[in-house]
Amino acid sequence: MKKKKINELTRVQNVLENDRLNVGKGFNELLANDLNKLFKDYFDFSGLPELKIDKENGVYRVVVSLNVSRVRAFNILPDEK
Amino acid sequence: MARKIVITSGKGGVGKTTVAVNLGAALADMGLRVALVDVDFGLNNVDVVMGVEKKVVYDLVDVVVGRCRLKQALVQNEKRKNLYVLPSGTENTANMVTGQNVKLVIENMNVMFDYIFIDSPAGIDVGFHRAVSCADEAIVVATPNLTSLRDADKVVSILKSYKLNSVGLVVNRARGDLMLSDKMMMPSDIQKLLKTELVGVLPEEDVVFLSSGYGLPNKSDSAKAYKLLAQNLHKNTRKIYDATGKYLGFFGSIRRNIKRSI
Repeated sequence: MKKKKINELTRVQNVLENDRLNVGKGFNELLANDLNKLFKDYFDFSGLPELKIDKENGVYRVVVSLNVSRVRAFNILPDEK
Repeated sequence: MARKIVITSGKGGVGKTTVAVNLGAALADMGLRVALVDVDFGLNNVDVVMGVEKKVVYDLVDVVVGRCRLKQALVQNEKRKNLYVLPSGTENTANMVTGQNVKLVIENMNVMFDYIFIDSPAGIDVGFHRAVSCADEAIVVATPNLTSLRDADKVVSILKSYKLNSVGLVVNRARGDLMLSDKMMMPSDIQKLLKTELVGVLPEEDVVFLSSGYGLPNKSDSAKAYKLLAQNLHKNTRKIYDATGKYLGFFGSIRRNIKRSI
């Protein structure tokens, strides 16, 4: 029963957070994919960047976290086309 | 100067009017002068909940358009002489009244009362803004379920833009037995979710239904909870009614089992 209550709490929390952010469904996934493409030019890593978006007093706060195994050297950055 | 407090919720049917009337009555019992202003045009019920609907001659719209004086429209409660209602008009007169009009009427009541409660309509459209624009403080009433909390959260976020002196949360229809068996969210969880200060918890009780919302028996749990809420508001204390209290211990568990079997 405790599990059910925690699920209900998490559900309410998720609904409220989505409402507060006012972003469409799939927004996080889309942004994570774009950031993935960008970060790949600079770092070696596996998996997608993790995103945490909050809205407080009308201001969005975006935190991106990523476990990086190596920082790429500048000379291996792709040339601009 | 009266404290002007709007009672709002977003979602309808969570008990705004019942909370406004009983909170007003509890403050009146403390010797304070209280007025309840109904700005829920068309769905006006403060007069009915308080049982003074037959005494209503004039309403808020009559005051605004100058058909009567403010004192003629105020309806005094028979039992509590320091408790008054200013009823609202019917829906087709709502267009005649702006937030500014209502604010002016309420400003005129300033010296006559210690507390003025403004009963807001459900929703977040014109009627809601008309009600909030007249207040300095707000009480958001929510019940412990997703739909009510979702609407309450939106209302809290809109209220922030009004820069009110305070926004308090009242959790209505709390069931201690369900909370203890983890079937209902605790008020403390709701407070954290809505990021709003909890000022009161009101239990779900049959007496509220049986008394049509007003005239609660003094010994009922609801009456005690309203008394605590009134004290919290007036004395700025934070003594919250414990809805789980009577379901704790040996006798509490028997009570819980009986309630479960009904």
